[in-house]
Amino acid sequence: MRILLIEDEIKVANFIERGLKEEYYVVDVAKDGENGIYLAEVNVYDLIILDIMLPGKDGVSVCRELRNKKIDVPILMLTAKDRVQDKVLGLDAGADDYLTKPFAFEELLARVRALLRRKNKRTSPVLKVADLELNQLTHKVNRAGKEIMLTMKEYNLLEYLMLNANHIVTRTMISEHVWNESFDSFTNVIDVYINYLRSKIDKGFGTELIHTIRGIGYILKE
Amino acid sequence: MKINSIRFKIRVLFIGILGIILVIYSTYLYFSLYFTLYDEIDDELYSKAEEIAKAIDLFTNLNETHSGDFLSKVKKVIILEEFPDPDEINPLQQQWLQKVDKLNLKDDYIDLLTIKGESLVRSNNLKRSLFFLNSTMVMDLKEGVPVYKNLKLNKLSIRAVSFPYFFQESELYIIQVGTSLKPTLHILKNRLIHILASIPIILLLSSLFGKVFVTRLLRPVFDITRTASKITNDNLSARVKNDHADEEMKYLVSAFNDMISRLESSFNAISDFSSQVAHELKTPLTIIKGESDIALRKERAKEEYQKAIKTILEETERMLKVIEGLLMLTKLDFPSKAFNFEQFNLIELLTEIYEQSRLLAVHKGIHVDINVSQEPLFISGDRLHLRRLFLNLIDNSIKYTDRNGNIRIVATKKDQKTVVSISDTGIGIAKEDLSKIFDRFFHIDRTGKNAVPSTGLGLSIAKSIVDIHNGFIEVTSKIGEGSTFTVSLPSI
Repeated sequence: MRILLIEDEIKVANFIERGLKEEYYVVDVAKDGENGIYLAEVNVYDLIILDIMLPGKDGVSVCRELRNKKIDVPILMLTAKDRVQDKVLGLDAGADDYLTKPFAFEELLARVRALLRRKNKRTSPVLKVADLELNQLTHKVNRAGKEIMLTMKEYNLLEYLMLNANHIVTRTMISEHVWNESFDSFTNVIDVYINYLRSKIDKGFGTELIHTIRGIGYILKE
Repeated sequence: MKINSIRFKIRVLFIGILGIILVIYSTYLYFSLYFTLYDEIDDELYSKAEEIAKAIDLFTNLNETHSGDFLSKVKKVIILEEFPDPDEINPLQQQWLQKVDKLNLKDDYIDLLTIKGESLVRSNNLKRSLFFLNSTMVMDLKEGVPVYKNLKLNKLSIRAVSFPYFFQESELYIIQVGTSLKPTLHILKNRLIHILASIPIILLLSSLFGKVFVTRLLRPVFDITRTASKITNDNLSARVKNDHADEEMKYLVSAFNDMISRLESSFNAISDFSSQVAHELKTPLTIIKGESDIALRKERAKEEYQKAIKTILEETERMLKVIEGLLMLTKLDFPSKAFNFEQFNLIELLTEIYEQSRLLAVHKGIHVDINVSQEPLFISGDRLHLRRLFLNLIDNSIKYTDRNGNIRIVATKKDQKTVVSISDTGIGIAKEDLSKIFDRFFHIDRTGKNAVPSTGLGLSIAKSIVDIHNGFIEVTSKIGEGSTFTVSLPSI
């Protein structure tokens, strides 16, 4: 799950980024509205966290511009303003949710999860394909009742494959959703991580779940 | 309509004044009529008595006889008796009879008396004397002045005159003539009824017109009341429509609207300011809360805790600075309490500040020098606050000047003003920001390596201090070359 954080206060951006990364999210940070819009246009994000008080272009204008550019990623607004009309203004500009500063970090995480669930049209935090289970809340992965230990990147990759179970995902799609801005797409990192996953998930469980579609990408199915 | 409403009071006052004027005017009219009518009657009575006297003279002159015949002649004049038949009437008598008709003497009461009050001859309709004469009346009569009197005769109101008649210019008789006041009293009574009836009607009508008029006049007041009751601190946009014709009301309404406008702008300023304060305080709070939340989510290495606590401490410091700055600004808004003005030599203060700032700047490798006039520069001001002002400015210069830069303090006297300038070779301020840097909570958008933590209050405090000293602060700057802050204070 890849998240774009648009926040000018370095320290605020810093702790949100760290906290989200601990929760297995892939995070890019933009320090102003212009940069945020640029990143949202060139990359594919699952969620945007947007601060309202930004230097130059403020959050509400950024939100409007993103929606005008047909970028319909869920947007969670952050602001120190807590008057009703500020909230209304933000939501009317196209935001999906609103959180006032200071906030409890657990609440931010819960709202992020809720927005992502709604985006993927699911109600449960548990992803399931055949006997493979992934819990997005606890980040635990089981196959046939046996717990499998994954690194953060492996987890991100598996989560993305499971979210798109029975659909082909290309390497580009994987790079867009699992890696952040600093990813170099000319390496074979994706293939390497697919191999790691295969050895942990498919090896010794009989039926293979991860299949290679030659020349296109991968598919996770029974 | 309530008794203590302006509408009621204006109406009462209006009707009261109108009523008093009407009563006074009507009284005047009534009495002037009264006196006019009485004067007319008196004139008439006088001329009647005069005619009678003339007739007596004529009748007595005609037959030159002694006084024994005098009474019978008079009787001919007064009672009109002894006119046996019309053929024997001489021309004089004929003439007199015509005159009696003309003067309408037949209905009047006529009496001829001696000066002692004894009646000699009286007309047939008179059974007793008309009125008795007291001594003053007699004195008047003796001097030839007629005396008038109102009296009642058989329940009839009579106006009578006593007329002095000198028979053959020697013997004084009195001719009394009385006439009924009935027609006069009738006129006066009618007039009184008209007046008494018309006053309430006029007052009632004017009260009704007054009500309409006063209500129209006070309409702007009701408009203002309605508008004022609509105004709350959430909604100050309501205004009273100013389409009233009355000049005073126009002024009132526009003064009211202006007041609301001023209130609105100051409310907005307060609201903006408090949302800025909220933002300035909430940002460090967000960081403190976020860092704490994340640190406590799971077991971490010692270094991570240390880092989190360091960040929390820094943000606490930042909040403290903002709060201190705000308290300072609040104090500066009520200068009389916080300020202690005295006369002193500014050069001494600047030299102290120079020594202090050298120590601050040496850590960053910045060179500070001072160039002040040899003569003392006396000003009147608060030492502590002026120290804060100059230290603030130098502190800023140090903050935004790179290693090996220069800061220069210059103080001179110029046109009755003491001018202190603090220049640096720092990063400078963009043109579009120059006008805003003295605003509260103004931060220059700087990211990356130029990001310097600031409360956004320092220069605002500096400006307040200069303002309280009746001084002037300005800034010139060029990006990449440095800034110069110039403070002018009145010299003494």
